[in-house]
Amino acid sequence: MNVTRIAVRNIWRQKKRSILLGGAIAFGVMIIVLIGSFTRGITNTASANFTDIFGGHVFITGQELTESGRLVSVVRERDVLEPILRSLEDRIEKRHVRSRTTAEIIFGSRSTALLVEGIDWRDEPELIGGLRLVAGEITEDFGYRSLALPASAAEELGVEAGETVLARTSTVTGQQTVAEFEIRAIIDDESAFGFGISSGYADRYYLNEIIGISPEDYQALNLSLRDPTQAGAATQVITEELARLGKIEEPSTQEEGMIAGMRERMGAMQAIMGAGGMFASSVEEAARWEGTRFLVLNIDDMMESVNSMVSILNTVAYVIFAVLLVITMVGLLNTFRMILIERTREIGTMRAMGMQRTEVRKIFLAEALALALGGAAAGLVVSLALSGGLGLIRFATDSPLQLFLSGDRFTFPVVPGNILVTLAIISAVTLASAYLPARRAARMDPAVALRTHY
Amino acid sequence: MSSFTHVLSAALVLAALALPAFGIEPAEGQKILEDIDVAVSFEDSDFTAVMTMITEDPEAGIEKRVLEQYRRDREDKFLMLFLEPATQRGQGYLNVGDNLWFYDPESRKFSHTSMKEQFAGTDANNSDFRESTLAEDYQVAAVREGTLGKYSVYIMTLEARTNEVTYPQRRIWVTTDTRLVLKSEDYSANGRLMRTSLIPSYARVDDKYIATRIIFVDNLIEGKKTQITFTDISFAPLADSVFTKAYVERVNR
Repeated sequence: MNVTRIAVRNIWRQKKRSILLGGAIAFGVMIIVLIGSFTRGITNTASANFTDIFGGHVFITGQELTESGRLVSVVRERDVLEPILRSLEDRIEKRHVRSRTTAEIIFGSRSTALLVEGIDWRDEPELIGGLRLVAGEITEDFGYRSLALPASAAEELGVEAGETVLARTSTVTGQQTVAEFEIRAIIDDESAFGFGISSGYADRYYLNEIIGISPEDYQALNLSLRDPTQAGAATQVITEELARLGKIEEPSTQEEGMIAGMRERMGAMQAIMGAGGMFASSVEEAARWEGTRFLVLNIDDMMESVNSMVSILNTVAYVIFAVLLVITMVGLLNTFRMILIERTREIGTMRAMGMQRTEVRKIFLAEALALALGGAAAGLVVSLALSGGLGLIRFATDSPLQLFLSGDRFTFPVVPGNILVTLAIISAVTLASAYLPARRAARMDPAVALRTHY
Repeated sequence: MSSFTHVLSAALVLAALALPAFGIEPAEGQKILEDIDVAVSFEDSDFTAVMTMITEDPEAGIEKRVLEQYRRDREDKFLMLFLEPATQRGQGYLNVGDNLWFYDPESRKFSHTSMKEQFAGTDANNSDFRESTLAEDYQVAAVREGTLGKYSVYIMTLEARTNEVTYPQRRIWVTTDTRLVLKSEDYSANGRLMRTSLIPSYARVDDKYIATRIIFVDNLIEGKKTQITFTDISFAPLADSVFTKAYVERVNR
């Protein structure tokens, strides 16, 4: 006896009821799959954007103190880092050193804010390949005083490739300074992401001269790993070794550790954002140190706030899904009770014709499972259609959502694991809902069932 | 400093010295700086004034800001609270010693900022509002006598003693009799003129002077300048609590 065929036929016999139940299941599946796909998309995109912006997965910055105890962002004790990095050679794909500053770019009577990244052009060919040119040219011989300027900044200033601009900024100790740049290239803003202000690229040695550090010094060492998922492990190795050398602050209490951790991250973020000298504050004499004190962050640290937001979104989705599941479960339970009553004589007939109890139970459970899978499939299709449609919406490149956009759109990757888990939960819930009525149907006495009238 | 900066600094000094000199020794120049600081600092009293700042920007137009300023020079403290525009009312800058905080009434949070930063998007720097410390911050590279309009002045070329002063190089025009700065040219480390300050009027209180009008001209952006006028000046004692974060939060309630 084909249990599945009977179950499907029974579902088809009561179309309206089946559509309602299946629709509820479909809605729940659609919500959970769509939100799961959206949060995975923004997580992946934000992580990729952070990696592109900062050129790596692990970020090492340093702080030193001036004679008067003011913090400046610079890495000078490179010999401390070198042995540690050599021990991680098999995990590190590439190293990039960078200096950064936020500057006011001036052309005539116009000005605009810009994050200027100082890079070694010869060491970052992938960056050159990733920058989309609007005008001018970018090669490894980019030019000492040359600047690759985002198109939005160029438009705001009314400047073209080949013209000279001024950059007002501050040194690492916070002194006001100004420098000239020649606009050698104008680049597409989509490839010059910078946290809400435009990001331009210049020669690191020239930038070092502007901000008042030696040519070989830098403000951030970024490591690109062969396996990005190893960012946390690599950070731990580097941090432990630096701590052993006394080059990382060791808090004496756990609370101090939390506060120090937050302060360190702020300091590292300021250095990474090119604001190392802007917010320099004094350090109490008792807390001062010699040489460079290092700060190590990784892509997961950058993603903390994004992960928190994603976690909230996922929690909302799970709550909605759980509520829908409960409602569906109650609905299914009542429905199968009604089915049991409606088909009492039918069950009696089937049993009288030789159908075993297990087969009766299987028919009921198969109906429940078919409803669940049918509803889930419908929900999945709607979710995929919706995500496809939402993925076509384009956003402005200077939108505050830029961190979460791939190009100018959201992405909705299919997460097979998420879908399978959802299907499994749906199936389990519907089977659980139908189990008691199925068991009751299986235990019916055929003679009693045949005599029953409702 | 880089060798390039050294060359420019030397050029600046030589340029100052190339013109007729009248025998002002560097030590005498240092004394002039000390006299300037004494003339405009109020070590024995507190200082309160209302500042009106008008910024002219060729792109953004004209902006007006009004602030209350409280100063206690003997303890290196000052507080500035925005009164206008309405969008900035309640914002404040509190300086105690080496620490300068900015208060945002919207978030009710204090954030560290730097003396070297531009003040509220104007052509003034935060350091312009604390007591004068020229003798401490700068050494005299050259001095000569000259004139500025109808005034006899010393034209002094200054180099910063440390790399923590806002402008590494300055040239100031100082009245020979009253030791008041009438004009200042502020240079970057690579010798580029960034800002010109003009102080056309002072008010005298006993043996002290207060600049009542200051004009900051941005030499990098054509047509941009900020004019500050000081009114409602008072030397009445202030409560110690005025120079605290609690006070700033309290006035915003």
